[in-house]
Amino acid sequence: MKKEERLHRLMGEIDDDLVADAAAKPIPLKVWLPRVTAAVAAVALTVGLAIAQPWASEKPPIQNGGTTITTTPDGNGEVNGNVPDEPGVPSASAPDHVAPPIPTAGTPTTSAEWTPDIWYEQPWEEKPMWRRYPDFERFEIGNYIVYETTVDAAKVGEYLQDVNLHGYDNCTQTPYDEIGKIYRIEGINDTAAVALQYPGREDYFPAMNTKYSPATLDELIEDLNLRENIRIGTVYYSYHDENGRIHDKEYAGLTVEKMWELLLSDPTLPNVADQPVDWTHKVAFRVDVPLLGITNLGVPLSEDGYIRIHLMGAEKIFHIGEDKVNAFMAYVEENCRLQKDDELIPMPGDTNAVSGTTMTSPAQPPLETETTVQKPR
Amino acid sequence: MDDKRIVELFFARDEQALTETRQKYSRYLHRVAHNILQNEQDAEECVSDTYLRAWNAIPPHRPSRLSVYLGKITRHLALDRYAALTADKRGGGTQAAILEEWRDALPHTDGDPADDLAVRDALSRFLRQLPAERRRVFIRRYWYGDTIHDIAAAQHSTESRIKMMLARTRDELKTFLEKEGIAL
Repeated sequence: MKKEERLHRLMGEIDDDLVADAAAKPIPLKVWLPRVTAAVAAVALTVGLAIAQPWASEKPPIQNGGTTITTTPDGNGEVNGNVPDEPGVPSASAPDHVAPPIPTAGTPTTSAEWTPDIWYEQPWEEKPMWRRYPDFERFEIGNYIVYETTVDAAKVGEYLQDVNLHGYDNCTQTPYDEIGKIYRIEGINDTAAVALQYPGREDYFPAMNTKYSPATLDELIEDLNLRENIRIGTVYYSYHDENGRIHDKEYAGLTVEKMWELLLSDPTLPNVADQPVDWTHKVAFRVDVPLLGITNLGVPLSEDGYIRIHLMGAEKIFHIGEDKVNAFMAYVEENCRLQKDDELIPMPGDTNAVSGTTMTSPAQPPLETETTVQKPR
Repeated sequence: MDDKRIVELFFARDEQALTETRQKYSRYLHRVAHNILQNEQDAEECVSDTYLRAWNAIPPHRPSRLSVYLGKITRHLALDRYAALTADKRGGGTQAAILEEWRDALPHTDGDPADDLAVRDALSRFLRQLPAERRRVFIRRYWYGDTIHDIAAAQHSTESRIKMMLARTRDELKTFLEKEGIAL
């Protein structure tokens, strides 16, 4: 490889925040001009009022209502709503976040530098509360992440405490603070999950503690009351066929009772998430925990007999044993209904894809995701 | 769906992760690939391959910024494909011009070539010390592969000013790498 090619390749590995920051760009003139005009008018008005104040001292002081130039709606609705799409620049399907400013000296980070381009930030006024304030901290307990669903009010228990909610509007670079109230959810340990009530709202949102780490499987089951709350979906696994194509099989009809019996019959198993686990994926099944807003969560099992339950950034891993995983696979293949057996990733333009083709394949070794990892260079 | 939840789906080995990723990032990734390859079909194949690479890499990898992580995969794949196409005499355009421009930044440093980590680190440090506009213009050109024309339009500037800015930055990068003792 030539030196310039190597340098060009390594340019691709610069820090992520630099790449994201470059996606932001100056606001088009047609948007920028009215803003400047508004800002000049606001400054002129302020100066005018300041000059007029000594001669109008008998009048009550003028309230600005807490509104500042940087937090006026011009930074939100106008930019996000009225800037037309540019050729080749995504917007409709664009991501819902914006590149944050880079914390380097001499880097101006005023709102006037931001405009939606590759990254798109939903205007603050349009964001639902859970997106404005997606998490909160409980002192010495952990950081809770809010789910975008609501908890049935009948399941909400005693009031626990107030919590500080911190939000940040990337469009105007304005911080916001609110006070929320958290409540116990019926049957759920509050160190694992609580119900959050935003100020001025009557509904409750489930929030999971990312630091929650049960010592045993039994603790996890009890803390989340999984025996009552869990619902089970399909079982699925993937494999490569002889041509290197990826396929998947999906089975329906597994009952919750059978899942408990086959996989989780030993509640004394310790949580080994803090230990290195050589993971080779074998099969997974879907679960819902509707009370906590958890839907379609995949619970994978490894070749070596590990089960991994992944809840909002925090993993719980238990070693149930290779025999149980194999028995589970055998039960599913023998007793459950095969409802899908086709391509795993039919992507348009993928020359290897046979999109829409249903294939009946003989039993194949499962896709070994870790042993076939192709890490980006 | 926000990135944190998409990564959760990857970890859960749920194919919905691919659907969500494609829905959210396909246009962005296509742009990264197309800027390098200048060909719809080649770019689309790179984007498709990106999803598969991500599926195979997450877990164990947990990207801190999913968008850039995917973009980096796409960029590498597109550069690979570009190299193959160039060998077939199908390359050219912006990418050839960019590679030509990189020659200005090559340090005249003696010794063994520095390892990738050292060069990558030096590039990031160099970029951080640049004024915001120059840094962004440089990354637009050499990471995203934007044309001079597009960068000038985005910056409300002229093409000649952007060219001057890039040339000056390449010179400074060369000096920086030499001071750092980095050979390529």
